[in-house]
Amino acid sequence: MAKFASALIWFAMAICVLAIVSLPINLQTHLIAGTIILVAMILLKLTKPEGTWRLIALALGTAIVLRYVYWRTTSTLPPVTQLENFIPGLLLYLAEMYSVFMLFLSLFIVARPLPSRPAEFVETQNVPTVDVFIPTYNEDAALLADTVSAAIAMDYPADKMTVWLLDDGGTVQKRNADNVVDAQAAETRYRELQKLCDDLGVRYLTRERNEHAKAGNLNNGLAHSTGELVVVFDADHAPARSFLRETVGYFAEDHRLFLVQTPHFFLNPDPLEKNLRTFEKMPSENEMFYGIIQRGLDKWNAAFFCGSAAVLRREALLEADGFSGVSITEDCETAIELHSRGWNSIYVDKPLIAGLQPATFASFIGQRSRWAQGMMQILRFRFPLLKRGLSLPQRLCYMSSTLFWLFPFPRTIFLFAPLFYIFFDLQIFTASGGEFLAYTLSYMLVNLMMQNYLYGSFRWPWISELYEYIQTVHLLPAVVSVALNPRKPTFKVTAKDEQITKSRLSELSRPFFVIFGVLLIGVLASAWKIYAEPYKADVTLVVGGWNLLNLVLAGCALGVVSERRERAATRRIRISRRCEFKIGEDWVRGSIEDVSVNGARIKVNATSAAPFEVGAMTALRFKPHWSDETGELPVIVRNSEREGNGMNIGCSYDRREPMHHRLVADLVFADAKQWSGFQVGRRRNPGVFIGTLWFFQLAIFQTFRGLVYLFGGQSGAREHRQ
Amino acid sequence: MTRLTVALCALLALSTSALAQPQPFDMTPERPVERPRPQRPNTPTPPPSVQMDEAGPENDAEEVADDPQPVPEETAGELRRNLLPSSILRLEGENDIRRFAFYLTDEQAAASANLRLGYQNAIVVAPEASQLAVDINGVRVVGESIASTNSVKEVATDLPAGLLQPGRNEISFLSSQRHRTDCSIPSTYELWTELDAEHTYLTLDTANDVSQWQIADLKAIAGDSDGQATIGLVVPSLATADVASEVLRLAQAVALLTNLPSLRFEVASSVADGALSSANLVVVAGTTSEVEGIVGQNDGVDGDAAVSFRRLDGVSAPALVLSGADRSGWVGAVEQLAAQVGPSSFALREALMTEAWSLPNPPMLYQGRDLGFAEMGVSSEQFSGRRYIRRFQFAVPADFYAQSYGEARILLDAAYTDDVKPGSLINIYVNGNIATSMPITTRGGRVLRQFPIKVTMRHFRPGVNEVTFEADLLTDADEVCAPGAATDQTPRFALFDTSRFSLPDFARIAQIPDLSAMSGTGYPYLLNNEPVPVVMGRGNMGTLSAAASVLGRIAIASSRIIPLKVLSSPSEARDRDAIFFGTPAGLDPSVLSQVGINDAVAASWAPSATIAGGAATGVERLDMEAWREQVNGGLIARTIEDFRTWLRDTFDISADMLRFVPQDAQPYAPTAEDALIVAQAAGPTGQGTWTVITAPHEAQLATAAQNLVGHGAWQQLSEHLTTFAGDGTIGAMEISRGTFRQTVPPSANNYRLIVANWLSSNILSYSAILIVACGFLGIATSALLSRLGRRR
Repeated sequence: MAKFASALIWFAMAICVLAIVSLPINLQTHLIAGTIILVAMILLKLTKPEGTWRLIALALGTAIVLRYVYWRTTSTLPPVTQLENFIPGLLLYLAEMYSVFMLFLSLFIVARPLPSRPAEFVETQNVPTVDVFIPTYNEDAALLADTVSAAIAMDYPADKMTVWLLDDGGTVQKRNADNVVDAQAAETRYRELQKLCDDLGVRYLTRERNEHAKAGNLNNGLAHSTGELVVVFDADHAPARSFLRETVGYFAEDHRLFLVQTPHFFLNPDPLEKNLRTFEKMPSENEMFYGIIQRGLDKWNAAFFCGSAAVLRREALLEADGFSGVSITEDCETAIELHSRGWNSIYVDKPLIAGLQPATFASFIGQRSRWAQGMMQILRFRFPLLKRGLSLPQRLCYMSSTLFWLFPFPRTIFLFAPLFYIFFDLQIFTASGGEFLAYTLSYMLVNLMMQNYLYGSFRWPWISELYEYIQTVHLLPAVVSVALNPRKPTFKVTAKDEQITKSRLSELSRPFFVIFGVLLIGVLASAWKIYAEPYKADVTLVVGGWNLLNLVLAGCALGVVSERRERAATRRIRISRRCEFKIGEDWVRGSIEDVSVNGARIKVNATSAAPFEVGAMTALRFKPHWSDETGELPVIVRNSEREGNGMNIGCSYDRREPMHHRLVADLVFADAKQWSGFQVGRRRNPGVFIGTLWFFQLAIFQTFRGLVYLFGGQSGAREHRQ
Repeated sequence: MTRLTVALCALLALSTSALAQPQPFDMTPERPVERPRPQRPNTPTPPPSVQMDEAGPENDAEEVADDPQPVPEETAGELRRNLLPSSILRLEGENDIRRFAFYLTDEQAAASANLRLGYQNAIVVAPEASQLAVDINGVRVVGESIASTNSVKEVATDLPAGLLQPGRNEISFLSSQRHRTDCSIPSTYELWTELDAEHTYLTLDTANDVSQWQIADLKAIAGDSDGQATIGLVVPSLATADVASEVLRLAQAVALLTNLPSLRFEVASSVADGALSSANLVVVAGTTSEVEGIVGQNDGVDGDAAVSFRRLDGVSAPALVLSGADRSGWVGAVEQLAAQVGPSSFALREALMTEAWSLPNPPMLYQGRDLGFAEMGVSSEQFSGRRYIRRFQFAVPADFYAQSYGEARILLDAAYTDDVKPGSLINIYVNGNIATSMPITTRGGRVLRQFPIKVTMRHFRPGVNEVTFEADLLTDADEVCAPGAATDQTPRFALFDTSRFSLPDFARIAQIPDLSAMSGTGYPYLLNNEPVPVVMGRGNMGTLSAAASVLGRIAIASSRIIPLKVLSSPSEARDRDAIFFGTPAGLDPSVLSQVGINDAVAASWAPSATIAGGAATGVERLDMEAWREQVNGGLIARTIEDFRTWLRDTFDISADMLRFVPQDAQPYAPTAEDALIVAQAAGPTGQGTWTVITAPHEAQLATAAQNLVGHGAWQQLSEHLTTFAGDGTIGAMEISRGTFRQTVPPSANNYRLIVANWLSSNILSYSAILIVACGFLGIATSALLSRLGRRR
């Protein structure tokens, strides 16, 4: 009843605001109201409001956005009688309306994200049986060994947990491939992995044919296992020890719970982070999704399965005939299906796995193409808005998640719209310079403010635009092709272990330079226009400014596609753990300062010992979390230097036995807190103003870097790298 | 009509173009371009049927036309019939056109007629490329190249027999002028031809026997050569009885039955010392015996309520005689006259009557509507000059309340050739104020189809509005301006009559006070069916004349006779719409303060120069804005000043717009310069609307009021208080805190638009309301979110 009443009041207020917003007031009134609201939002933001004040600030922003929509709809469309203006004008209008619509959907989703849940630790007795699935296709054994080692190190009664390596690279079909070399490789892999599994004490499973890709592989695992719960880890996602303890408890609470999803935390930078060197200081791209959107979805019981780092209930999966495989994003599709059957999901906002993400721009684009195409398939085959069984909030949530991937269209239109005016004199937006300034500027500022309000510490200003732009160039054809041919795309496994051994331009970089060139000509043309055609200088200034903004984005993207030589493959994580280091025949006490999946830095209290030679083979021993016995891990010294009484030694692991993998996993993956700490360290909101300044200086620098890579070749690149 | 216009245009084009140019623009392929009809100048074309038919309540002219008198009377004299609505008719720019209607009696129409034209033109007008033309009833009667720079040139033309119609006739003056040497756009402002009313008239070979006149023939009354008309109202009873109400009713009836642009009344109780010699019409009303004293014994005066026309001795103007056996008898005759005006109850008008000075009559727009240019008398035409101008009129009701927010649109069908350079402008003026300036931005010619041009409604006012469409066309040829370029006849621009003026639905609520509503449509007095109190201080003939003139003008604006009763004290008018005439001394001080005039100052209101022709006293009012622009100040001050200027230039924003509600205005203190003040406000009970017309002296009130009702001044009435200075300057005080009066049945959409307009003029209120509403929405969202979805 109270719910109904407050909904009624809300509708009344919403209609009230709509009525006020849709009054056909004049330009001056809008300008003043827009300015006052902007100032109010800035003041509110400076006080960092939470709760109701935050919603009031968002309501203020919404009012300005709606005013813009009203004005845009009622007075800026070119007349239909001029088709050459009307068609591009309408496209631009639709693109803008899409953006506004998506803004409102995300407002709905993240209006009040759920706070992080308190951990639901389970008692050791009476826990459900768990099957851990690690599907693999082409990852190498060493990587798999780390992941499997981390999985078996999870803190859970051993008799209740079975780890399965689900190998799709060693299927009968692969081993009998017509290509003899491929068949041979598959056969080798089959043996190698079988042995690895035997050594680590986990189950190896493969199947006859590679049907339905990852979904089929998982379903094969389901068919061969019996645990009440199913955990899925991608081959490169290694769980922390606490993973199951933090997640399994929720299933006892809610018997209709089918999914507990946890965030994906990455140890290596994505190409943008790597090439722009922002990994250490700026929140990662996916943190906006895992840090706030999933929490928002969780409020509406719409947190969805992201393919890995999640626990699912077998009963629910079986009800829906396992993982769905119609689309190439089986994860989200499965979640829709189960949500529509009345199952619930929750999201645990704590990184409990650490993984790898694509390191090169090309594989990054490959991964995004799969997501985009898969989401388009879902939109096509399981249209969430009309999916029976979903609640209204769930429908909206899934619409938001799938429609998001249409962004290449509006992004393309925003990119080229100014050029219609600059090059072809088309009037696709009928407004005077003054109107443009009053309405569009207030809208854009309010939009930036709102984005910052919603995602401020998870996403810095203009970074969303940059990510969308760098994806758009190659995603647009992918999305168009899936729209034309929805059944065609097939699951392609993203390569994440590529190394960039020398600085170079990405193989996908050419279009970015072409676009940059065209936009640059556009900037010059608009400058000329302002000089030569003073009677429309006001409009030219505004459109030219827009184009300049596009140029800044495009320039920054040049830096993204200019791949830097990779130094450390993965991120080093600061830990502090006692160990003993072998110097000669002595074991010297020391502490492990930081670790990565490849090596560690150790500080030893060796007052007298001479520095190691590079390449010296020695060992390290420490107590793993799972036992009281110390384990010994062979290492190769990469560098060493004296520091006061001690010595700093950098070394890489020399993993020869399964146990070595388990020890590495224990060092790197055991403690999830270190990941949270790293993430929190990057989560800082620079604010719209500082953030914009920072982005602009970054963009200018990256533009030069991109151009140096293009023209300077290697020598220039090397010079610049330093 | 359209076919005829097209034919005429084609004729014009042919006659003026040196080479037969292929028509570069043809927007209407489905309608073949008509070949000019062979027209023998002697064959009169029947007058085109004009929109007039449904326009006015009086169609008497038509009735007369049905029954023409075929045989003209014996020629007994020459009648000079003035034509122009003002002393000078100025045709400006490269193309101009003036059209209006005049009425003739049967006898006049049948007489042989000669048109005299007197004009003078600017020295820069190139005679070989400039034409002046006159059309009467659609027939070209004068086509003359403009060549009279030194003195007024007179042209006389015999009009073909049968061309003039009994009743309504239309006359158009068309000019096409080119500069002798200059091709720039500013040079086109130097082009003018002035028709001198003194030398522009019809000579009708007729005795003008007024005794045969019907009431409908009142329309044939013409003004003086300055366009003004004076009507002498002689009512002998005034000396003895209180018949002021009847006199004012009579004045309104006469005002409505004539067709004159500026009409002033002289009220007298007797014909004395040639006061009526200058009158254009004398109206005598009284009992038979009273009338006989003026008119002389004659037949036709007896009988109970008689209306007749005759001539008075020593008076050139025709006399309308209303008589009856006693008072009720002649009052009955007044009613007979009033009955001719049409139904006395209020009815929505299709159009306002402006035909005496401008045709076509502007259609009245009560709600959103599209008007074709053709409907408003704008025909398709092509143009070879550099500044194309076309005007049209429309009217909006008194409760038009969209000045602050509204935008009308012109959906333009037009075309221009490759020669027209980007940077050319299309300007739209509303009532003389620039409303839109839209640059042509594309290179190469273009055909615009229903191209929208936004026109702000800021300058719209109740009643008639004039829109000027102007195209400033820049070409390379004009820049070079080789010899002969200025007069090149190659068309470069075309406007098509399929263009439309589109007025959206607008907010409708009457504001009190709003003098422009009174001047434009007679609001709120036209809505009264009960007698409106007219309060005249210590009224004498001067005040009564002033009242007659003003009420006559209000009646014209209202198209109806407003019932009224004359009172001497304001007490009865407390909760009514009322009009007050008098000097500050003659009016109750409470009346002055009620309408926002400082009554203490008004009491010592100094006499000043007479209203008309008085030289400017040269006292300039100090303007803080002007000072602000002169002071430079320091860097910060300058930056702020620059920003202010930029805001004003770009967005039209000034500091005084930032308000929550209108400021209360101080009562207006009349100054020595003010010769006449017209002020309006709600009455003391808030019910009625009080309008006060006051001048320092009784005599000045009469003259000033008579000048006020002249076409130029009357249209300037606006806002809450308008002052007319002796030197002709006019000032208006903004409406401060007015009240609203509902005029249409309540509807959500109308309220929405009303609110939009109010908030658009009280900007900060909008911001405040929006912020408050958003605040509540935020709170409601918060409350809702804590009840929806998961909460943990």
